[in-house]
Order: sequence, then structure tokens, then C-alpha cells
Amino acid sequence: MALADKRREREDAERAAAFWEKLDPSKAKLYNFIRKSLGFSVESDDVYQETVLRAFQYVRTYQEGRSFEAWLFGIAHNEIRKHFRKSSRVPVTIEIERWITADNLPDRILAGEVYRVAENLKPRFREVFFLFYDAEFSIKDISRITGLREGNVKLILNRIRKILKARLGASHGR
Amino acid sequence: MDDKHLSDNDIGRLVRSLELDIPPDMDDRIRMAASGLRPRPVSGRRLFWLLTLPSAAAALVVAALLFLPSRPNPVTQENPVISEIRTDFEIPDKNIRIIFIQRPDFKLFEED
Repeated sequence: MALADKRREREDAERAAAFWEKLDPSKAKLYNFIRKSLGFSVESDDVYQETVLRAFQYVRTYQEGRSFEAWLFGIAHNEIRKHFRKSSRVPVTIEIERWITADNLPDRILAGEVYRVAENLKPRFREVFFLFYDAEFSIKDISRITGLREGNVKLILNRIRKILKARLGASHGR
Repeated sequence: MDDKHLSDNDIGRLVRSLELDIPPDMDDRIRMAASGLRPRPVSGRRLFWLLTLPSAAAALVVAALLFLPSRPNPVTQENPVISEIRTDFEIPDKNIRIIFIQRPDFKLFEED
């Protein structure tokens, strides 16, 4: 019995080590996705923590050979949905431009406009937007992560492109 | 950059120009919380559902069969019986109303 316990403990330790190793290159991307999808809410850190802990707990559901990042972001997607279900959406007003690291001023202003458009999107659309443009997932992966059909993902992205075009075109007087 | 024709690459570049750092103590906090957790076994859960789902489905079918109102057998069901036919006549000028009541013949004799 003691031997079996020791073996299980060793297996758990190995699995945990493998998990942290796999998580490491995706951490920043995951954190940014959650914060941006939640409109920079102060609760983003809790959602990030909950996502990582849940992924750790259910690491055995990850199938080797498939994309670890897509699996991880799928968990994040569920946690974000849970967050929106239980808490009322309080818009956060932040000076986005302060954090933007674009080299020149016009790009900084444009990036600010893009974020303002994203801020006003419905949570589901905003997630798709950041999965595509920030986390750089393919439409196929976004479909897997969010459970939306590929056609719907394309439709959402096209609508956002149109909004961006209208908004940026108008705000710059062209 | 022509902002009227922002390409996907342009939008992506603009979006990624805002990158937030993970708070320095976050990793330690998560690892500390994770140390009290154990990865949950999958096989047990799968086995649970494999055993539970068919049993639950069978129980539902049995319950449905028990609570469904039993349908009468169309062969053995008795045909409705017409017990009487009423026919009314009215003669308005005379203020007369005639009512015919047709009933099946009553039994005349006890042994009938």
C-alpha cells in the first residue's frame, strides 16, 4: 500500500512538473488574453489564477498530440464565461494609451482606438477578437476553444473588421 | 499606415502593442494554491459516466412506462351506446311543442 502511495505521489509530482513546464511559454499570452477579454477588470487576476488551477487539476483531460495552448485557452474561455455569468459587468475606464508600447504616436493613437472598439464589443465577440488578433489562434482553433462554428467565427471577425473600418475611418477624417 | 484599409496584420500588431506583465507574486501564489490540489483522475470519471448514463436512461424509460396513462385496447373497448334520441317540434302559432323520445325497448320479461 505504501509503495503504491509513493508511486502515485511520484507520478503526481512528475505530472505537475510537466504541467508547469508546458504552461511556461503560454503564461503571458494567457494572462493578456484574460485581462483584455475582461476589459481590464480588476478581477482578471483571479480569473487567470482560477484558469491555471483548473488546468492543473484537469491536466489528465489534455490529450497528448493536440495543442496544449488551445486546450488551456478553452479552460480560460469557460472561466471567462463563468465570470460574466456571476458578476455584473462594470466598465473599467483606463488610460489604454499609457500601456501601449507602439513606437510612434499615430500607431499609439490607432491602437487606442482599436482597444476602445474592442471594449464596446459583446463579451463573446471580444473574446474571438483577442483570440484572433492577440493570441494569434487560427479560426479552426478559435472554433475549438469557444465552441462556435468556424463560419460564425469568420462572421464575427468580419463584423469587427467592418466596425473597425467605420470607426477608424471616421475618427481620422478620411 | 492607411488606417482605412487596416489589414489583419496591422490590427494584430496594434493589439499586441499593449502587453501586460503578470504580477510578480502571481506564480508563487498559484503554485502554493496548486500544492494543495491533486490532478483529478480521468478514468474514474469516465467510468462513472459510462456506468451512470445507461442506468439513468433505463430508469427514465421505466419511469415513463409506469407513469404513461394506459391506452384502452381498441378491440375490447365497448362502443358508445345511444340511450335516447329526442326530436322536438314546435308549432309557433298554436303554442304547441311536441317532443318525441325514442328509447331502446325495455325488457318486457324478467327472463329476457
